[in-house]
Amino acid sequence: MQRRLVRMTLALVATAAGLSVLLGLKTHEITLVAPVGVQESDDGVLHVQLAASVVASPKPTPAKTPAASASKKPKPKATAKPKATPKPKATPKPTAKATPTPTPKPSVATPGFTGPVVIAGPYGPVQVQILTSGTKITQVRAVKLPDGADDIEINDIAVPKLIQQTLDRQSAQIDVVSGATYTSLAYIKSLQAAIDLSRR
Amino acid sequence: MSHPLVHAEHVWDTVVSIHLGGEDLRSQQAALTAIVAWLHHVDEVFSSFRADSVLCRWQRGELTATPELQEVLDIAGRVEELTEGYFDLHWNGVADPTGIVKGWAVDHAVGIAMRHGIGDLMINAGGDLSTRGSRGNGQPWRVGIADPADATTIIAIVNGYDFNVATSGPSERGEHIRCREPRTALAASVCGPDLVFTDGIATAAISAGDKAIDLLIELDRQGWFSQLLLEDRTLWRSAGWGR
Repeated sequence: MQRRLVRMTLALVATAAGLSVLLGLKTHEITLVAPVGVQESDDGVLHVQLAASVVASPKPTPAKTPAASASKKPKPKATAKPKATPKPKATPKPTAKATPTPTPKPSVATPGFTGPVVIAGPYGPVQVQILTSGTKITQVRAVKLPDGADDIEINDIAVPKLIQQTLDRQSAQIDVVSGATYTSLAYIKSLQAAIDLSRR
Repeated sequence: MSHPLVHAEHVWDTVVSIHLGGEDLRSQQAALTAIVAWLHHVDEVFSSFRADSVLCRWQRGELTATPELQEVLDIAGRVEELTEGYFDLHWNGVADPTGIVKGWAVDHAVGIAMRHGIGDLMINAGGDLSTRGSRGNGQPWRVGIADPADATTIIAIVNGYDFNVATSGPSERGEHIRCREPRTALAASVCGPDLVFTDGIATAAISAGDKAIDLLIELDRQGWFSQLLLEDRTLWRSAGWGR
């Protein structure tokens, strides 16, 4: 098999507040979900863009959807600390302006943990070790590589300013869906319809 | 504990989902009634499918712009300016504000809800939405961005309080999007103040083609954060959106 360098981009998700809560807890569940983009550059490097969700899991909860892919972990409910009093602001503004995270640099004496991470991607399972410093993710290292990959590099870690996650078919995790305008007819089969029905 | 009132209204050939938080059912119902009436009023005034709508009659020169229509036209001009002309009111040869009417109507619907004392709410007009307050118990609203290739799949989630999200794609209905530039994104999502502007920017990002990123970087500085699903299915995000 051709030796290929796999480069990965990890989009990590949590609020600054949420992250500190998460990292302050003993148990973590890190789930890297399906790659959101795969691209092969001229030099044969596969660029795999991943997205991850980090959630604290005091007790793993069973998956709600049995149909969920077997390689994926049941996603426990995120326990980000709810804001005590959300203040409706005069100017609607996307919230949670966390400071942009600098490029990952090894930091001093950081508590680290190895997440049991499985990527359900086309290149097989990858286990990832995550090092933290305070509330910041400082380094992500692959400790188990997919077949056919001789090197793996995970970079571009940033805690988003907006809280975001990438995942699939997790309607239980969302309240509303934004997408290109649907017709009345298409609505019936939409995720939004499912959400509306479930909350009535 | 809040008990949201949830309603889906078929109007504008799409569905408007309305979630009104709070505990006071009487206020929630009053707000819902007023919002639903407003949505249908907007349909009558601005429908491009009804020959007798105010918009169609104005376009034929049969009447002068009503204050409502003038308000929308004025905003359309500001959206054009904001998007360096990539949102084009005259894409069709005549002034056609259809592309921003939904966003404008939702902005007003949010105002109606708030005047009824509803502080926690979400209104989603066929994929372009506005949130206020929290989803309940102080928790942020969680907005999924649908994959244009499969509307039952989510490619990103944006959580927060008091924000608007609009998503456009090249296959957007209404055809108010004219692509002048070669490459386009598969979907453009924008998050920011006022749904009418947020929606107009999402539309402009698609019609701007390969100029979209320059435009969106500039608009990011002005408070509209965006994400593009590019043709190779990678995601581009402006600084404010994060990674």
